[in-house]
Amino acid sequence: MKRNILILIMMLMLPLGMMKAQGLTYDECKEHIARIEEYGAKGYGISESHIRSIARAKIKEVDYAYISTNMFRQMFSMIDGSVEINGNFIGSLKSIRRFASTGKNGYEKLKAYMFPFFDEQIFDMEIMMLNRNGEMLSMVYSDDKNLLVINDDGNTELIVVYIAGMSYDMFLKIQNVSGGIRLNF
Amino acid sequence: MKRIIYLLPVLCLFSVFTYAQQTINSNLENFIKEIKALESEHVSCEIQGFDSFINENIGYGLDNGNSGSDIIRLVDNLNNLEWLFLVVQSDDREGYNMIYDVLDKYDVMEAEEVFGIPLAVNTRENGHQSTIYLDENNSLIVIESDFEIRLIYTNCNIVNVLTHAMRMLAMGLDDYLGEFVNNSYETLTHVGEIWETENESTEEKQQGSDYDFFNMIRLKRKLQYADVVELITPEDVAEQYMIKNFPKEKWLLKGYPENVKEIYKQKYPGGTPAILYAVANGRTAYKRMTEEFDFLFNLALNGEYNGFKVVQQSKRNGRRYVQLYGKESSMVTVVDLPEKNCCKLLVNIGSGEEFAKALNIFTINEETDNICRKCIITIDEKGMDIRMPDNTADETQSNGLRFNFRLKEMFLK
Repeated sequence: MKRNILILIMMLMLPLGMMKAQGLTYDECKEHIARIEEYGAKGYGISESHIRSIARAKIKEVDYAYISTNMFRQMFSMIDGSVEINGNFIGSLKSIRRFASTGKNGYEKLKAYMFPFFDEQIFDMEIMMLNRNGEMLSMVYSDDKNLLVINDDGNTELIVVYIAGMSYDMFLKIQNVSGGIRLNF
Repeated sequence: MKRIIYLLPVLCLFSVFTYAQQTINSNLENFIKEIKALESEHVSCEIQGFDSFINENIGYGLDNGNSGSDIIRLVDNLNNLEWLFLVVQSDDREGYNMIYDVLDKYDVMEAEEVFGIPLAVNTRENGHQSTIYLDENNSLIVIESDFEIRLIYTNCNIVNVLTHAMRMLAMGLDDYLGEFVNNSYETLTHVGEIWETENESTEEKQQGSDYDFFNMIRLKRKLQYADVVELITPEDVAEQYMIKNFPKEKWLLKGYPENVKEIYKQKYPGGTPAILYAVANGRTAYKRMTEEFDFLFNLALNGEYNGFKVVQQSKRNGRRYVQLYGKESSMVTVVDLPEKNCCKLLVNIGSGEEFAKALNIFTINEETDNICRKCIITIDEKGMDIRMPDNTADETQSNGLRFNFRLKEMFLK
């Protein structure tokens, strides 16, 4: 019930947000909302549905990468690595999605899609860190289980990383682990 | 009677599962049949054995002296020769559309699972898209770019198979991924690029011909027997600086000081300066290391090896010292002290100045500060030590970053 209400709110808010951003066409908004609904119906949270939908939008001038848990584990096993780093178990990791703009158009389009996050309108994730340094803006959103990192240079570079299955606490713990994994954004 | 009642749901579940599995399998079969049926002047379609597949698709990617046939030999030893590879490739725009229609029909390009096979990797970069679906018994790979499409299906988990082989080869994919762990998340996605075009691999081969960062990583892994092996990059030093001066809780939660850039966002333009240092103290490690680098001591003064020229060379009381200079201030130094069973190797890529410049880019706004003046890197038998003395007014460090490897002093003692 709660989820349906949230989806409904999202449906109402998103077009407003998107139009406000003036970066997306009506059709893009419509398709985006339809995909969010589709993922919402499958049980995904709003933020995750949003990110998954953006992945399917296949935006020009935006590089995209997805890696699944199984692949992640397999790669760790290849290099004799472990999903436990300095006692911090990161076995809960589900998948990683990364978007990176490669040009001005891609930047603007991705920013338009990400508008609700820039406007802090996302309801199922809490903003944990916001840092402005000159034009550079860094944001970290999190709920209990997932993490969303946004880096925006205000010009052409916008990087969005969504890590399903990594809490903010875990993110803090594994940062800067000497000799271990380092997640660079 | 009761037992039968208990059994019924189990049987039902089993039947549903079996039915679902059969449906998935038959969908996959249909898909393969349809794809194979596309074979025409527009679409090439080939069923390959493991050896020809590896030779055509993977072998060229190995720039470490191992060939595709090495992998084949190693996999042959695993006695798994029943794997078949279906390779379908568009030859023109029409072929692209034909393949794409079939993929579209089965929703292959969009789904997170097809025919029960979960999506493992999906990357899109500059209009190139690579998708890998993977489970224990199936691999489906789709590579698409500029109206060219290539599809590979095989009845094995190709990543597992290659991992087995590569592990035995010790170098190769293992290294390729090892680099990721040392670097960043971004490289994770590069597994998709194992399947990229031959041109890229050729470029990689050419880069590998000199000492470069890529080769340093491989050399580091090769030197695992040594007692101390350190690969130091400006990023490592910058990170230590940040941790020391801006503790995580302070900068991560409250933001960076105004003049501090976020190190993770920086990328050093150009080649990565780096230093590799290895020490053997124990008898076995010493023996292996001197065997490995013995030829360097035997080069004549001004003699050359791999683009490096011998500029200093000395032998005294059984002790040996050799130093070679390469392009762009790269340097290789080896010291052999037989009475101590000690052998040291130092490889520099790029000059100290370049290292310092990169270090500044990684950390501090260049106009306002220069952390290199504060940084002393010392490496000895115990390992690496990066010190950043609080007193930064030491004018004697006019050259900025100071490395102290205690090589020559040690030799001259």
